[in-house]
Amino acid sequence: MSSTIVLFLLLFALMFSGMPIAISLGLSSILTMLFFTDTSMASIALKMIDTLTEHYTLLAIPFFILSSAFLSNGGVAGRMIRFAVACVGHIRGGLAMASVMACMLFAAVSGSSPATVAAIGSIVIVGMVKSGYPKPFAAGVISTAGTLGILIPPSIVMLIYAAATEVSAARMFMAGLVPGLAMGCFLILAIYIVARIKKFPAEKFPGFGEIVQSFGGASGGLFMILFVLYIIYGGIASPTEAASISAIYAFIMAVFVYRDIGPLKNTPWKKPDESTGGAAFRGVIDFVVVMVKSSTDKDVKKVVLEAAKVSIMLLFIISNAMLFAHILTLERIPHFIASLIVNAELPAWGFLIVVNIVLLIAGNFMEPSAIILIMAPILFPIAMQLGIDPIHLGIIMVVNMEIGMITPPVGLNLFVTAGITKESMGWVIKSAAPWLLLMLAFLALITYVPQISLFVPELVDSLRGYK
Amino acid sequence: MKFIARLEENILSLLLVAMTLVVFIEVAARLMNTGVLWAQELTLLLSAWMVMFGASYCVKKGAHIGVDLVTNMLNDNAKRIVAIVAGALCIVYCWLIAWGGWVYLVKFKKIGLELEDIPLEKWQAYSFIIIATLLMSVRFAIIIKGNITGEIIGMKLTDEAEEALELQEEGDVK
Repeated sequence: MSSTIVLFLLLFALMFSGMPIAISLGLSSILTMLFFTDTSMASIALKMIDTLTEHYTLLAIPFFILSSAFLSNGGVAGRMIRFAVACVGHIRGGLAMASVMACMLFAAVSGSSPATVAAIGSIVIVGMVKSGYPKPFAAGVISTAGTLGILIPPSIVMLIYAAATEVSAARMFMAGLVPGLAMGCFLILAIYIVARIKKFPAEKFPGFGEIVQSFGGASGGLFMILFVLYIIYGGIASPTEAASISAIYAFIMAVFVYRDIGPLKNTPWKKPDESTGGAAFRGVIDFVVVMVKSSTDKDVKKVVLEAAKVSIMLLFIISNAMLFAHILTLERIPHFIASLIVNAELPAWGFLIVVNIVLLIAGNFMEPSAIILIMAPILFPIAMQLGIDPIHLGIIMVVNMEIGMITPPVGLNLFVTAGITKESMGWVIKSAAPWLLLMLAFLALITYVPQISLFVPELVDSLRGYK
Repeated sequence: MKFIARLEENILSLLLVAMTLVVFIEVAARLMNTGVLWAQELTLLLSAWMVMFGASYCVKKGAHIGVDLVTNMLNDNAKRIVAIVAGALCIVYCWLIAWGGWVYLVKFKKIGLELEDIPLEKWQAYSFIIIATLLMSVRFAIIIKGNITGEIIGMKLTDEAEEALELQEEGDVK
């Protein structure tokens, strides 16, 4: 037991010294293993090599990051917003609803919450304030709706949970769909009620032409959502493979179809003095040229390097956290806590309350991937003993992490919103506070109604004839 | 120096692109009823090399996330001292892994084990564990030196929120 105390003390001391989280996880685990167990440094190094070369699921992370980097820099976010506004803008409070809808759409192509807030928020908050919404309301809506980034699949946090507990990433993605849509609808409903009471403005109905036209513009991104869902839910390829396909798709969308970045940036699809056939012919040639030219293009290289940097940072944390999980298992810590809980005859629902409280507190101080990596190996075996479905536990953890993103002091979404609105942190925290209550109610719902999460995975199972 | 920095960035980007393409080609091959036997092993190796070399690049760029909640409350001199200690501990970490990796790779070389699908000896494929961690320790040494002379204060760790914003702003300009 003393080893556990040393492990956690070391971890927190190192972490608060300001060194990279990855190294504080790795170093505290290595030192504890060397002093308290008879593990040799050589086998620890081997463990490290193994985690780097044996987790195929984790490779989905760099691919999804790459694809969302191309999408957010390639003008997809703006087109999605235009489509959402055309659809629901004419309802009272419609602009706010459209922002939530745009966040949901963007969440379905990106796996990260801060990225969703940055991509959608930087455009819509200004727009909402211009049309007469109070600024705190606009900021609160976006901070909260942005958290959907990790709940609506694909989601990086879910991939990490899948890797840490070895449940299927595809099933996690299936499970996130209904809760994600439900939360989006919750938010939209809440906005509608507030808008009725406070008499928020409605946009003019732009006509069906605009809906069709904006749909056409956004269809590149919208089609990708269907495509990724079809691949994963249809069992055609694993999440990793789907991620690589979507990265290549996003690249082609950004540099060839939308042309907001890359070598074709200022070349239109059809020049004014060109015949349709000529334009089509030039399009084919351009496609080949663009594939070659992109390898030296400044914008493209920047996006790729940025994606590589974020992926490396995450994967490096993960490989060190696997060492941490390894020492936890070696010392049988989860089993110890599990037996405590079983002996105390804590029922499953009591355990889930404890889980929620612990995760909510942790979510205030650390960022999601680190929490999942530290907590999942501890909570998972206990939940299994209590008969809680591992997929359900995963969704509960993800929703907790969402709340962590809009609570101070380490709420990533709050930082991003503060950056966009150029307001102080205190102002942003206050603006998000009412929505926090809504999120807590949603968390309770997700925790105690497992069917919301398990409905889709079980449906797919029965469709494929497993049950 | 600038050339080497460029080279490092290009290699990392290239590894990411190569990984993506290999997986894509494997799926395409499978849909055409053939397969690429070595694809999975190759992708994992590429990613392992990318992560370990990239980790050292991220130290240089300050791209690793850290908790600066406590260190932010200190004054500059105290910040520098904490950073020097933390940097030294990071070097200990790098050397421990490099040493453990060395012991293991020597064993691999003696036995002469090969990878499963790619005709490459394991010690060659896994040599990243030593090379990359040693490289990383040099980067931490530079941070320590900077803190001693006062050029750098702290570990230069960025926060993720700021980065997401920066990317977005760059996107807006275009």
